[in-house]
Amino acid sequence: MVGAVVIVGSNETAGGEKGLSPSNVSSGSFACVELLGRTVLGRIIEDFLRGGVDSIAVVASVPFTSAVLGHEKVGFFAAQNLWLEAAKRAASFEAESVLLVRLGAYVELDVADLLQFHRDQGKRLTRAWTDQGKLEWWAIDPTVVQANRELLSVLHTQAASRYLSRGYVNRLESPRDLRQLVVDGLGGRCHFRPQAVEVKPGVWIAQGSEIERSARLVAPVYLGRHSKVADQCLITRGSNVESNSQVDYGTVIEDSTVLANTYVGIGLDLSHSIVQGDNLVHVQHGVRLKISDPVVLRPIRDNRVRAGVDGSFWANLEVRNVAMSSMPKTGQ
Amino acid sequence: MLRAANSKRGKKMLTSGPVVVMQVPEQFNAGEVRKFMDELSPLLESNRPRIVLECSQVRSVDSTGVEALLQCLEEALKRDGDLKLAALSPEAEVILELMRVARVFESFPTSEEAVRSFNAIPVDPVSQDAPWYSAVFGDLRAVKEAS
Repeated sequence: MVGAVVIVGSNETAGGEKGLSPSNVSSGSFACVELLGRTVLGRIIEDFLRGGVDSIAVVASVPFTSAVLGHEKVGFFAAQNLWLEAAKRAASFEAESVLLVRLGAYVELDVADLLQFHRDQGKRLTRAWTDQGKLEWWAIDPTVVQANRELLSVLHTQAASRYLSRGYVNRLESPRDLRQLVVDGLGGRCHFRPQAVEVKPGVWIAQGSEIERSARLVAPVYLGRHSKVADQCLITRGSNVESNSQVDYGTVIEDSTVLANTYVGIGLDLSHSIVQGDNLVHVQHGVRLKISDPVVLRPIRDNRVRAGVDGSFWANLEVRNVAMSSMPKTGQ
Repeated sequence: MLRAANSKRGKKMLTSGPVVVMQVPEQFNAGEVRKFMDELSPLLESNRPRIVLECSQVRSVDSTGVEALLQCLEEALKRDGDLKLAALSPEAEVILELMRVARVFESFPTSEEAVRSFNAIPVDPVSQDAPWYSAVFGDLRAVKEAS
C-alpha cells in the first residue's frame, strides 16, 4: 500500500538551496488556483491516484474548497503546524511507502518509477530532483515517520537518495511561471491540458460557456465553464478565461489570465496580465494593482464549489502594491 | 536646454524655452489633480503650449487623474500645442495601457528626450504642386545625378 501527503501552505522548506520555492509563494497559492479548468493540486492528486496511491492526505493551514477533495481516497486536514500534521497523517497510513509533496511546483513525475527507485535504493528517504535542482517531492519509508515529530526535521536529518526526474516542471514561483504553465498547457508541451473540448485547433471551450457571435477567439485560447465573452471581444495569444468569468463588450484579452469569478469590463486592453476579482498583476512590468472601480474589474459572486483562491494568493505576490480608487470612463 | 524653476507649491518644474516639464505627483488622485491642474492651467492657456509631464513618481492614479491627462492633452492640441509624457512609472504605464489611452499620448523614457522631440527641426512646408518627396529629397534629378 502507498500513501501520500500533500502539504499546502507551508512557508517552511527543507533547505534553502537552488530548486526551492522562495518564501513569497511557498504557501502553494499558485498551485491552488484553477488553471485550464483544474488546479495543480487536483492534477497532482489525479496523477497519484493513477499511479496507484491508495490514500492521500491533503494538509493545509487554511480551509479551501476543491472538487478533488471529494474523492473517497482523498482526505483534507486543517492544521496550524503543517509538518507535524503531515507526520501524523503519514504515520497513520499502514503503507509500505509514503509520498510527500510540499505543494508549489507543478511536476510531471512518474510516481510508480519514483516508488520503485526508492525501494531499489534501500534508503529510507528519496528526494526528487531535476536538472535545475531539488524538488519538494519525497518518497519516505514509514519507519522514519513519527507521529509526534515534525516531518521537516526528518527531512533535514535523514540522508536521501536522489531521484532524477526528466519530466516537465514549472516551479510556479512567480506570475510569469503561472502564465507559462497556461501557455505550455495550451500548446501541448506538458500534460497540463485544458479541461474542455477543443472546438477547433487550439481553441478550448468548456461546458456552459457563452460566446457572442461577433467575439473572436484566436488560438491558443481557453474558456472555462460558464464563462461569458461578449460581442466584439478578442481573446488570443494563450489567454485563459476561467470558470464563471465574464469579459464584457469590446475588450481584448491578450497573453493574459482571467482567473475564476472575475468580471472584466468594457473596452479594455488586458495584456500580459493576470486578473482575479479586483486584482491585477502585470507580468511584464512586475506591477500589482488593486482596482476598486467595479466597472473595470470586480469579483463575481459564485456559490458553486470552486478551487480555493483566498486572499493569500494576492498577499503573497511580491510585487509593488498600488491602490487605485477608480477608473476613468472616457478616453476609450 | 532645461532651466529649473519652482512652482508656487514647490513642485519641480523645469522650463526649457517654450517647453515646460512638470512632475506628476505620486498620488495622482482627486485631491492632487485639482492642485496640479491649478498650476498647469495657465500654461495650457498660452499660445502653442508645449508641456512634458514627468511621471516617474506616479504610484497611484485616480479616475480623475487619467481624465485630467486627457483634458490637458485636448487643451494643448486645441491651441496648436502638445502634451507629452515622460518616464512613465510601471504603474502608470499599466493603467494607461489597460484603459487604451496609452497610445493617445506620445511618451518618452526621459524628460530630456521628450523636450528634444519638441525642438526637432521642422520640415519646410511643401507647395501643393511639388512632389510629395521634395521636402526631404528635393529635386529628384539632383538626387539621381548625385547617386
